[in-house]
Amino acid sequence: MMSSENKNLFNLDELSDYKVASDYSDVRGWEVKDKNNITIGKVDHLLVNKKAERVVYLDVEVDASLIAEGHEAYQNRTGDGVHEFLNKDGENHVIIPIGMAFIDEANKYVTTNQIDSATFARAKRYRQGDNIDFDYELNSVRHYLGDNTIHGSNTPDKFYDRSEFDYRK
Amino acid sequence: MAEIKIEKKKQIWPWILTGLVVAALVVYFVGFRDNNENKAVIADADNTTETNDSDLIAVNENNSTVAEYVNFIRNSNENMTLDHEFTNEALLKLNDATSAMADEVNYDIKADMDKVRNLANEITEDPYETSHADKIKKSSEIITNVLQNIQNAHYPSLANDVSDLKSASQSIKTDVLTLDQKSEVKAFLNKAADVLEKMN
Repeated sequence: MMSSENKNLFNLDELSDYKVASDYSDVRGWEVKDKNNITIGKVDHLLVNKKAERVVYLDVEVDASLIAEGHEAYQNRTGDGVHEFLNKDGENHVIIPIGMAFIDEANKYVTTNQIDSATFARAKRYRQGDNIDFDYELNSVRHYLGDNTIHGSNTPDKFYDRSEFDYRK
Repeated sequence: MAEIKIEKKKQIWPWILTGLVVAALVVYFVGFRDNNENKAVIADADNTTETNDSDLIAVNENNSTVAEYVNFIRNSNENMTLDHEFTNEALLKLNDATSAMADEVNYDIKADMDKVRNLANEITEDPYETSHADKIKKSSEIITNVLQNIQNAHYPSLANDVSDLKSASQSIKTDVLTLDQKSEVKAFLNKAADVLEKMN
């Protein structure tokens, strides 16, 4: 279970005094597709930075087929002697930085042009209700970008200034 | 790239509370003012009613007994001989008319009228009685007093007429024979007819 170190990251559902701003799409419940237009799950929650008053991650409940794909990838990789992420039963959520997602408002789904389903399948997942710490966030971003050199900024708020979280960059 | 902003929900409770407070104030003040207005209207209505109740000059009672006396005096004016029979009949009719008028305005004068009736009857019982003028005067005073009370209570505009009636009554002298003061008695009977006619 993840610890709660990042106190600026909140599930929007927990913030009873906040809502998705008008003129923005509330994508909760919408399907999420990878860069090859393969459905990998659906948006379950919106993780927000309260100080910046914006969503920084989409909390995605992944499809069972993707979990199976992940198991297969894990077994294959372990067979090669490479230790990959270990996901336990019930851990079926991943986070997607908002800056790596596109919202198709007309067709009501979310997609990404950078992450394929295989990458999602190998991503470290967490169980719904678990708190998300900054290490998990950093590892997820590194995993999606395939760049383990990415370092966390001095503060999470600075981290969210990265292009993966800001559509203007 | 996507962006989803969040915003603070507009707190609806403060608005609901404000609305309730405003509504309560409106109800309180409007209700309070309405009550006052209603009370004022009721008070006005009461005043109006009281005015209408007290001033009956505009009300046409059209009492037939009153009309009978008035007609009796008007019709017999030319030929008024003022004998005892006539005086008796005139006083009895005046008595009845005054009683009828009193009934119209719910004014209890039975005791007074009984006295007048007895006095009127005494006039005919002894035609040679020399104290007829005294009895006529007493009758006129009782009737004048009753009519004045009715006037004070319900016909404020007839004050002058009742004053004239009182003068006519006072003009009747007890120590003068009735036959020698026909005009005074006739004036009283006529004035009483005027007052009753106006009240009626």
